[in-house]
Amino acid sequence: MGELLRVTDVVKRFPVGRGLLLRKPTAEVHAVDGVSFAINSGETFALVGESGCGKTTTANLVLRLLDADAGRIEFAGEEITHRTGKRLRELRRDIQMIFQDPVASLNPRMTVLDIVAEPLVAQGRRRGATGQVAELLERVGLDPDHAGRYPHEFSGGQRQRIGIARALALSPKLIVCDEPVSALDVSMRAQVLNLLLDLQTDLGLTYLFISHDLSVVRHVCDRVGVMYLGKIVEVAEREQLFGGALHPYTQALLSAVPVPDPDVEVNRRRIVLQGEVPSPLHPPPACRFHTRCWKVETICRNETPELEVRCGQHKASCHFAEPRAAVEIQA
Amino acid sequence: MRPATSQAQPMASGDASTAGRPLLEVRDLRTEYRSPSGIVRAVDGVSFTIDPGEVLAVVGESGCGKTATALSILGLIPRHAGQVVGGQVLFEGEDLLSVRAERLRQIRGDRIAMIFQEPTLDPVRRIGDQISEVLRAHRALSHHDAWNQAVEFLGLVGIPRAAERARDYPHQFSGGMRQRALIAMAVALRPDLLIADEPTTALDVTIQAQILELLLEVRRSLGMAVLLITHDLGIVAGFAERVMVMYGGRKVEEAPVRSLYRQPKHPYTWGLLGCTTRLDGNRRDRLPQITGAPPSLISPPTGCRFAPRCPHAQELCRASYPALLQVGDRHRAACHFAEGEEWGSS
Repeated sequence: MGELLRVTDVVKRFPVGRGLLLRKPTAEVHAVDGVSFAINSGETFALVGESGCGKTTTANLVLRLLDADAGRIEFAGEEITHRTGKRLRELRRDIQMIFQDPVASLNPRMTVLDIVAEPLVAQGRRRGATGQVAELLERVGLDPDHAGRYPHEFSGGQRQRIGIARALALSPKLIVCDEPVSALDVSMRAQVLNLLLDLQTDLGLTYLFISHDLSVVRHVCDRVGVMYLGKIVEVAEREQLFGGALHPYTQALLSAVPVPDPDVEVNRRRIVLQGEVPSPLHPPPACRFHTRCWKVETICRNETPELEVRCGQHKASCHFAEPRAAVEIQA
Repeated sequence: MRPATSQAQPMASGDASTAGRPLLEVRDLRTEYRSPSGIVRAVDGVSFTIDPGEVLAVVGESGCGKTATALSILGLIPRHAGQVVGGQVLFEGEDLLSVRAERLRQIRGDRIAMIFQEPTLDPVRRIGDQISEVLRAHRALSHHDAWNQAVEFLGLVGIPRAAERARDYPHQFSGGMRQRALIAMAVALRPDLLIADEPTTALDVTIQAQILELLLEVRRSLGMAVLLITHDLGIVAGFAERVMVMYGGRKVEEAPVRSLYRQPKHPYTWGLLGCTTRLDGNRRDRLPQITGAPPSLISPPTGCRFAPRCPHAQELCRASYPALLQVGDRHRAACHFAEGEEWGSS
C-alpha cells in the first residue's frame, strides 16, 4: 500500500476582470491556497466543505484540467504538475473522473456505447471496444443489451452508472469522484455508493471523493480533509474525525447535518454558525474562520494557525483545538 | 385583521363545531400532467389533514407527487401542463378547488403562503418593494407603512441592517439571505398555513441549519401550521410532528414522527430509512439498498406501486392495491402485510 498521490502546497487563483477595454485583472479569487494531502493506494480520501471552499478546484488540479499556480502534484512517485503532451495523455488513463450531474455529463446525442467507448477511442483503442463496453456495462450493473440506447432513456441512478462505466474504461488507478451522488434520490444514492465500494474492493481503485455531505463521507471514506476558503483546516482518519473533530469549523459542519432520528434531533446540542462564508476575493487575514468562530480570540485575528499534528494522523489548524463528537447529545 | 372568512364558509358541512376541525383537509386529490408519452398521474388519490399549528412533513423521492400535491392545494398547476382532476381541498371547510379565482387569490398569500426551493424573487425590483407589494395586495396599507412593515419582517428573519438592505436588489443578497427574504415575504401576512417545498435543498449545510432554525422560530412566534415538503429524513426528524410518506403518487404511510422512525410499517419507509446515510452510522460498509427505480406514473404497476421493488411482495401485492390500514395510534400504512409482520425489526 504505497502512496499514490501527493499534493504539496498547491495554489490556484483566478483573476477577476473589471473594465471594458483593458480587462485588467483587478482582484483574484483565492480558490485554493496552499493545500497539501496524500492518498495511499486503495484508499478513499474525501475532501469536504461548502460551496466555494475550493474542493472542486483542487480536484481539477489533480486531474490536470487546471494548472496550479504553485506547488507540486505527484502521481505514483512522478511529478505531474507541469506534464504536457504525450505523457499527459498517458496519465489520463490512470486518473479518471466521475461527475456530479448525470444529465449534463453525458452527451444526449450519443448512445451509451459511444459514451463508454469514447475514452478507448481517444486513446486509440477502437478495436474490440464494443466487447469491452458490454463488459463494463455489466460490471456497473447495466444490461449490455441497452448499449444502443440514449442517456434520456435511463433513470438518474442508471445514468450515473453509465458515467462510472466510462470512468472505468481505461482501467484507471485513481478516480476523482466529484459529488457523485448529490444529484440522486436517497434510494439511488445507496445503490451508487454500494457500487463504488464494490468496484474498489474488486479492482483495487483509489478514490478522491469530493462531497459536501458528511453523512455520505462517513460511509465511504477512509480519511477526510475538511476545506474552508481554499485551505484544509483539518485532516483525520474517519473514526477520529467523526469521533472527535478538533477544528471549530468541522464541528459546526458536523453539527449542522440532520440525523434521521427524532430522539437524537430533539436532544442534540447544536452549533449554529452566525453569518455566511466570507468572499474568497478578500479572505479574512490570519485564521480564515475567525469571522464566524465562537472561540475567536485576539490571536486568531493576528496569527495564522498551522495545520499541525495533534494526535496520531489527526491534523488541525486551530489555536484552540479541542475534540467534539459528531453528534453530541445533551446530558 | 382577518377578513371575515367564517361567513364565506359553506354551512352545509354538517359539523357545526369548529373545535377539533383540521385547518386543511385534502380528500382523494387527483392531479394529472400531460406529457408527450401520455398522461402522468402525479397525484393519485391522496388524502390527509393538517391541524392548526401543526407541522406535517411530506417525504418522498423525485416524482412521488409531493410537489404536485402542494401546487394542487394552491391551484398553481400551470394550465398548459396539467390539472387537478378530482378530490377536494378543504381549507377551514371551504373547497379551494371550487372557489372562484378571485377568492383563491385572497386566500393564497394571506392565509396560505408558500416558499420554494429556489428563491423566487424579481431580479429587477428592490427586496423591500417586493415584500411591500405582497402586504399592499392584501391589506389597506400606505406605501410608507407597508415599507416599514417589510423592514420589520426583514429584521425578524435575521437580515442585518434591515432598513438599509431592504433597498437592495436580489443579486446583492447571498443564497441564504434570499431564502430569508422569501420567508419574510411568506410570513409577513401571518398566514395560518405555510407550505415550504424543499426550502433548504439549494443551500449549504451550515446555512440550512440557520434557515431551519429560523423557520421553527417564526412558526413558534406566529403559531402557524407548516406543510414541509422534503426528501431529507434527517430534516423531518428534527422539524416535523407528523410525517406522510409518498410513493408513486400515493400516500403509503403516515404517522407521528417518533412512530415512523421507531416502527416503520411500510417496506418502502423501512427501505428509505435503511438506505439513508447517517452521520452517526457505524462503519464503512455497504448500505442496505432498495433495488430498481421508482415506477413510471404514465403506466403505473397494477396493485401496490412498490411491489416491483419490494423484497416481501406476494401475488396479492401485484394484484390489488392495498388499503390504508390503521397500524397504531394515528399511524396508517398502505401495505397488505403491514399488520402481520414487523417491518421495523430485524
